[in-house]
Amino acid sequence: MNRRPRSGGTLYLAGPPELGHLDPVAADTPAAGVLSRLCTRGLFGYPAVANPDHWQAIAPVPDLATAIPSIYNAGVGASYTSYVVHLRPDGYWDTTPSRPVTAPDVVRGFKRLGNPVCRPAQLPCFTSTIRGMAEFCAGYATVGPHPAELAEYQRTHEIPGVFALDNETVVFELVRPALDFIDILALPCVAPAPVEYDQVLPDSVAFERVLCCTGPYRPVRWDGDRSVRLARNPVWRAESDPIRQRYVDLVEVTAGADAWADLRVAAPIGTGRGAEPGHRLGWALDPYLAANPHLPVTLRTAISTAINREALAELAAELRPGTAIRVANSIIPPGNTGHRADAAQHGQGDPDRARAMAGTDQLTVAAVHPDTEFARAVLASCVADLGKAGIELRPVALSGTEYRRAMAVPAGDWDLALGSWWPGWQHDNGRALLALCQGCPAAAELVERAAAEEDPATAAAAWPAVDRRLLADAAVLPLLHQTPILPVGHSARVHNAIALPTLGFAVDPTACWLADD
Amino acid sequence: MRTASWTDVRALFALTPGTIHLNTGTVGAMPHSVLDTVDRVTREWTGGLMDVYPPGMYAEHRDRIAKSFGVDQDELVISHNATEGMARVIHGLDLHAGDEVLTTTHECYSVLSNFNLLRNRHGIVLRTLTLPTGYAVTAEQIVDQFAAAITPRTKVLAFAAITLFTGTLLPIRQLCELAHRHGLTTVIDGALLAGMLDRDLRALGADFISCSGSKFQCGPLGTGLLYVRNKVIPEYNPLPLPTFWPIISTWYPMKGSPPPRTTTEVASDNLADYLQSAGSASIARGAALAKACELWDEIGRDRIEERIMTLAEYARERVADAFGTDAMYSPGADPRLRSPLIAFHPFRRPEDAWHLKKINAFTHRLEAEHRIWVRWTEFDVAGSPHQHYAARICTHLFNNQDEIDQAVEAMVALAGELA
Repeated sequence: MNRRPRSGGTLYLAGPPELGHLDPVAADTPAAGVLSRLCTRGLFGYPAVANPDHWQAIAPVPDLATAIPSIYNAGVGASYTSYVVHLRPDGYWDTTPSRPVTAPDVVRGFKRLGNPVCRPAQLPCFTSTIRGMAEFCAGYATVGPHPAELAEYQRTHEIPGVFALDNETVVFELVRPALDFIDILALPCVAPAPVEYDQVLPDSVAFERVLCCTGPYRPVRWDGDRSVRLARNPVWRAESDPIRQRYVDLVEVTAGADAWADLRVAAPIGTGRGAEPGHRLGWALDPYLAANPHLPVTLRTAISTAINREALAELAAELRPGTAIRVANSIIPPGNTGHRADAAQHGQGDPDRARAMAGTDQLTVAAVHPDTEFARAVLASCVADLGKAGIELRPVALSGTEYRRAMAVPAGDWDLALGSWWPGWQHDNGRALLALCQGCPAAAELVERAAAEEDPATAAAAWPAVDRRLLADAAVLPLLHQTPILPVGHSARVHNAIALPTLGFAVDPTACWLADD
Repeated sequence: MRTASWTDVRALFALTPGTIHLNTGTVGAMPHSVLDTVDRVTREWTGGLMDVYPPGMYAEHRDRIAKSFGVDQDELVISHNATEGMARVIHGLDLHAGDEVLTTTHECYSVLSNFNLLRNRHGIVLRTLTLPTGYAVTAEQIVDQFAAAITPRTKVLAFAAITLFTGTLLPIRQLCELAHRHGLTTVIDGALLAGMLDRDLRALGADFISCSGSKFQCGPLGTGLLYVRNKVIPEYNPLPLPTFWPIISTWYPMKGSPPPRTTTEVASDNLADYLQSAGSASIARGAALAKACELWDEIGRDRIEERIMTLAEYARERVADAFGTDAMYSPGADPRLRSPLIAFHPFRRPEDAWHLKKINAFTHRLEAEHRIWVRWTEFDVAGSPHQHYAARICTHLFNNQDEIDQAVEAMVALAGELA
C-alpha cells in the first residue's frame, strides 16, 4: 500500500459512451468536465478535497487566475457588476514553441461559448449575466457552420462586457450583480481558447488536431471516438497549478462503461451502503424528460402522470448499485437551492388518469435519448407505462453529437428528450436551473428574478417558485434524483481517489497515483 | 497660532522630508505636539496603580471638542474611527423588515457593508442612487436626485458629507432639510469633515455624524468623533429624536431602560456617555485627539478651512489646466460642492478610465519615483457600464503651492509615459 505519492504507470478511465474531442466548449457534463480537467485549465476551478462536506470542496479557487476577485483586492467593484481577473504568468499552451495563456485567449474563449455549432448547456448563465453577451450570441447564431465564418464573426464582433486590458488582465462587466459569477466562471466549459481553435469547427474531429493543452496531460493518440491516450504535458508545472497534480505517466480513456477501468468518469459508482449518500451536497436530477414546447401542456402532464417512478427507482437501483435514489417529485434535487421536500408525490403513476387527460385519440410521441444502457432501460419502462395510458412512446437513440444538437433546439424535431442535470456548482446554485428552462421562458424569468433578489428571505421563497413553474408547465418531467453513495468506487491499485462534487462526484484523475505493481 | 504663517504652521507637522503628502483623505499627518502627547500620556498611564476607567470616558476632552463643533458633551463620542462610528449608528437604528434606507453607491464600503448586514439580518430595503460626477455637477442635481428617490417607506437618509471617491461636498444642510420634510433620520459619514470644514454639527441638522480623527483632523490613527443628536432644537432639526440603541455600551443599564429620549432642548440623559463607555480605552489617544483639536482651535478652524479651500482651488485649476475639465470627476463649476479632494482621469484615452492596472501603476510610480503620495479611487459613474478609476489628490493646511506644482508636473509626465 503506497501512502506516499508515487509517480508512474498508466491510469485507465472508463469514459462516457462517446468521448467527444476534448473541446472545452463541449464540457458541459460532469464526464466531459473530468476529461477536460486533465488537459485544460480555466480561470477558476476546484481542488480535490478529501471530505466533500468541507467548504473547500465546493469553493472555487484560482486556476489560471492569480486570485479570486474581491472588493479587497480591487477585483470587484462596489456595485458587484465589474470584475477584474489577473492571469498567472506561468500558464502555458503546449504549442511549438510554447506560449503563455493571455487575456485575449480568455476573451476568445468566451466568444467561442456562443458559437452556433456547439453551445454549452450553461450558456444562458452567461448570456443573462455578462453585458452584451446575449446580443453577441444572438448574432452568432445566424452564422453558417464554417470555421472561416465563425472566426470572422469572432474577429469582427466583441462582447462589450468581456475585454482585455492587456495580455494579463481581463475585465468582466455584468448587467446586474451576480453573486454566483465566480462559480459560473469555474465551469469546465469556461476556458481560454488559443487562436488555433479558429481554424476548425468546435467539438469536431478536426478539433483534435488543433487542441492546445494547458493542463497536466495532453492527447497523444486518438482512436476515433472510442479511446484516447493522454501523456504528460511537458509545459505544465505543478507549482503553477493550484488545483491539479500529476502522478501517472499515461491516462487511457475508453468510451463506455463496459471495459475494465481504474475509474469511471461517467456515472461513478458509489460503494457506500444504505440509502443516504454520505454527503450533504446537491444531488442530480437524473433522469428527466424535457418536453418539447409544441406538445400541449395537457399531454405533457398526462405523460408525467402515467410514468411509474417507483419502478424506475428500482430499475436504477439494479443498474446503478451504490447510488442513492429517490423518486423525483420536484425538479430541484435535494441539497440544491430551492429544493422542495413538500412536493406532491408521483409514486407509481396513474395510467387511467393519464388516459383521461390525454384524451381518446391514440397518440405517438418520440423520445430522443443518449444511446446508453441506462437510458434504454428507462425508456423501455416508460414505453410500458405510457402504453397503459394509450400513448405510444417511440424511443430514438442518438449518438452523443446528435443528442447534443437535438437538445440545443428546445422546439426541435422531437417530442420528449431524456436528459440528466447536475448542478455545475454546489452552493447558491439556483441559476444552474437555467439549463432546464430552455423550453419554459417563464421559468427562466423567475430564475433571473430570484437571482436578482437581494433580500435573502425573499430569494429563498423565490427559488421553489421556479420549480413549481416548471412542473406546472410540465416543461421538465422529473423522474429520479440520484447521487453516488460515497466513497466512489475505484480499482484497488488507485490511491488518493478524491471525488469532485462539482463534477458529479467523479474521482479527480489528476490526484490519483497507482500502487506499486 | 491665530496669526502664524502657513509656513510656520507646516513646521508643526511631522512630515517626512522629501515627500509630498497629498492623501489626507486616507490619513493626515500628525503635528509633533500630537505625537508627543501620544507618547507622554501612554507613558503616564503605563504600569501604574491609577484607575483607568474614568479618564477613558474622556469627559473633559469631549467637552472641549464638542464646543469646537457647536455641540454638547452629551452628544459627542471619541470613537476609534469613522467606520466604527458609522457601524454603531447603523446597527443602533430602530429599523425593521421593509423599512427603506436611501443612500448612494459612492459611500465608503464600510457603510454599504453594514447596511447590507442589516438587510440580511432584519430585512430592510437598501436603495442606492449613483451620484452625478464631473466638473459641472450642481447641488440642485443632487438634492433633486435624492428627493426623487424617497418613497413612503423611506426611513433613513444616509450619505457622505464629502465623498471619498470623487471629493464631492454634498449639500448637507439641504439634504437634511429634505429629510426633515419627510420625517427621515439622517446618518452622515463625516469621515472627511472634521478638521476640514468649520461647521457647527448641530446646525447641519443631522441626527448622526461620524468623523475620522486621523484624516483632516490630524489626530492619531484609531480616533474618531461621533455626533449623536441628543436634544431637539427645532431651528436645526424639528424632528423628534429617533429611537436609537447605543450598542457596545457598558453604561447601558443592566436592568430596566434609560429615560425616554427628550422632546425638548434639555437632554434627558447623556447618550454619548453610553457610547463612550465601551470597556477600557487608550487614554493617550483621546488626549492626542484633544490636542489636535486644540491646535485647530488655536490656528482657527475658519482660517484652516479658508486655507484648505484656497489651496484646493489652486490645485483644481492646475489639474483642470493640465488634464482638462472633462477629465475631472470632482465638481468644480458649483462652488458649494467643492472640496480639497480632487479626483480626475489622468490619461489621454477615455477607455483608460477603466484600466485598473494603469491607474495603479500611476499612483505607485508617483510614490516610488517621485515620493508623492496620492491614491486612486473606484466608483460607479451614472450612465456608464464601467467601473471608473480616478487619481485623487487632497490638499491640506500643511501643503503649499510649490508642492501642488511639483505634483501636477510629475503627474502630467507620468500620464504621458503610461499612455
